[in-house]
Amino acid sequence: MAILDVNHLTKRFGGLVAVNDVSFRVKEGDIHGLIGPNGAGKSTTFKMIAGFLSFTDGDVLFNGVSIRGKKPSRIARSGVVRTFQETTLFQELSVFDNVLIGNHNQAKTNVFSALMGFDESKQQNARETAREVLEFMSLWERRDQQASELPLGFQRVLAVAVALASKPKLLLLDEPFAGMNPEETRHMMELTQKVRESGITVVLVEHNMKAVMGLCDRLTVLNFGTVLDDGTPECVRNNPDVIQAYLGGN
Amino acid sequence: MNKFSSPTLQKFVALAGLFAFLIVLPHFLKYHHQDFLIFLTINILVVVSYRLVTLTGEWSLIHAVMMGVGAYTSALLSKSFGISFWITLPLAGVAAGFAAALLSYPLFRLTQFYFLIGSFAAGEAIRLCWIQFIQPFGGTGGISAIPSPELLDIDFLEPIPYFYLVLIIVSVCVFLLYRIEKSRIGLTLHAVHWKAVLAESVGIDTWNYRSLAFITGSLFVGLAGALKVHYIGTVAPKQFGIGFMVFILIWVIVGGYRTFYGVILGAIILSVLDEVFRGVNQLRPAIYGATLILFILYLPGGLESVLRKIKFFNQAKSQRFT
Repeated sequence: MAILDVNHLTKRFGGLVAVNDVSFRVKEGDIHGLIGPNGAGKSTTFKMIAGFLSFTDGDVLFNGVSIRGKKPSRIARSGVVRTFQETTLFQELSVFDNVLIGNHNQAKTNVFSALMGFDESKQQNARETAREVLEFMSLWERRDQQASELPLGFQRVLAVAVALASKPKLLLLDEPFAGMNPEETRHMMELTQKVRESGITVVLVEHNMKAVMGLCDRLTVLNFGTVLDDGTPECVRNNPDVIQAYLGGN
Repeated sequence: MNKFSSPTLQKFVALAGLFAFLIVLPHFLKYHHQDFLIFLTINILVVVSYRLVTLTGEWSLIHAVMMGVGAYTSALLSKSFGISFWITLPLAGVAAGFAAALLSYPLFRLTQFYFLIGSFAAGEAIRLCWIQFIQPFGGTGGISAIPSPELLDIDFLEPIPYFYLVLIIVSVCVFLLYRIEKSRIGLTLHAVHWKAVLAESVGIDTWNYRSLAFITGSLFVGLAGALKVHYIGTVAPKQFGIGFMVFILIWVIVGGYRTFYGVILGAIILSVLDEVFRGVNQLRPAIYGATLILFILYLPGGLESVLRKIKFFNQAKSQRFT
């Protein structure tokens, strides 16, 4: 059963076709990689799946339900949560508060309950979830640190923790290993593996081929906005078209 | 953590002391200073409710007009229909909140500078309605002879009883607004302000929270409007013009918009300053303007940032000596 079904997805910016008739399926429980050279339309596809960009044609089905026209927040509540390329965090808040905000679905309240304190047990549960997520991501010891004080690698891990706190079914990671040293990359790969083992399907856009090949169950290769290949890492690695797209030549 | 730890106790004592002071204070003031104290207390509710709106990062220019919506609602209901102040007061808040709810549909399609201008235009449109529709709003002259509240035998035309009434209502409202800011909702508003895309990506509907802050802030300022006009007895469009709105902005900026008490501090100090210079009437706008420019240049964090620095300095000192 495909958790995510991308169907003939197309995006035009004026005359430019950024994504042209792209279709692929993500199996539940997989780590699915979306790779391709620069400008292949990976990020555009990514944004459309998370609802941050509208699409011109085609459709995206999450668990069989179309996401067309829905706000990002609504899509997130239904279980598709993305992270960002740059370290997008609440820099001025503590690590703990960052994760607490991520846990919006569990903690959201109305003015009346907030005033009367009726939501206290709910907030307690939210704090408990935040603690679990931080322990899961091995960030608990750093909970009181301000997000901006963390080293880059940990900021990335925190960004994933914020996304996890919203209890996604499908996690979209946008270049999770960019700018990381080998040590940080290895740590992040372990965490991604751990996230998948906890039952969350992962889709990631990434340039680091070593990480992608070692981590993904399935890859979709994009080039010039179209799907070039789709299959297991071994298959994709040996496809002459893919090698040509990456290395150039003819 | 112990609920009755000493900082909590200290705060409680400080608060009790403050209220004791405020209860005694009007008895030592001249008549027109008692008036001033009433308006100052109402203005505190105005800035604190404005703070809730600014928490989402959107500064509106319609807050003064929302105060007017509450004021007109209460004035019309009590004068034309003879409804008691105790009923028209909450209705004033409801009316302002309702107006804000309607306006949030067009206004929150805009952000930042465009929102600022859009809110100003919407506010002026409402204000011009009060001028143009003489029936029922009374045109430029507005509405006069608005009845004052009635309760037992208390004479609310006198400043001291009315001050106590205002003090109670404003304290309750300020406390409620403080609770909202410190609750989960406050944290979410912070998220919407500083990283709207990240907030949206974890399921926070940013549009909803922007309008929630706007509606709640308007509701409370509507109450402030009603409190004001039932004391002075008249309501007119010019009370809620851009001039008053600019005063609100100056209070917030000079006081410091980063903390809850900053804006209160700004309202108190500037109002007192304004009162001190009552003698040189022509100079007052210039003094206000100069204060604002000086603060933006030399103290962009507002008065509150000075207090924070002092606190920080003292902490550092005590740490060094222990």
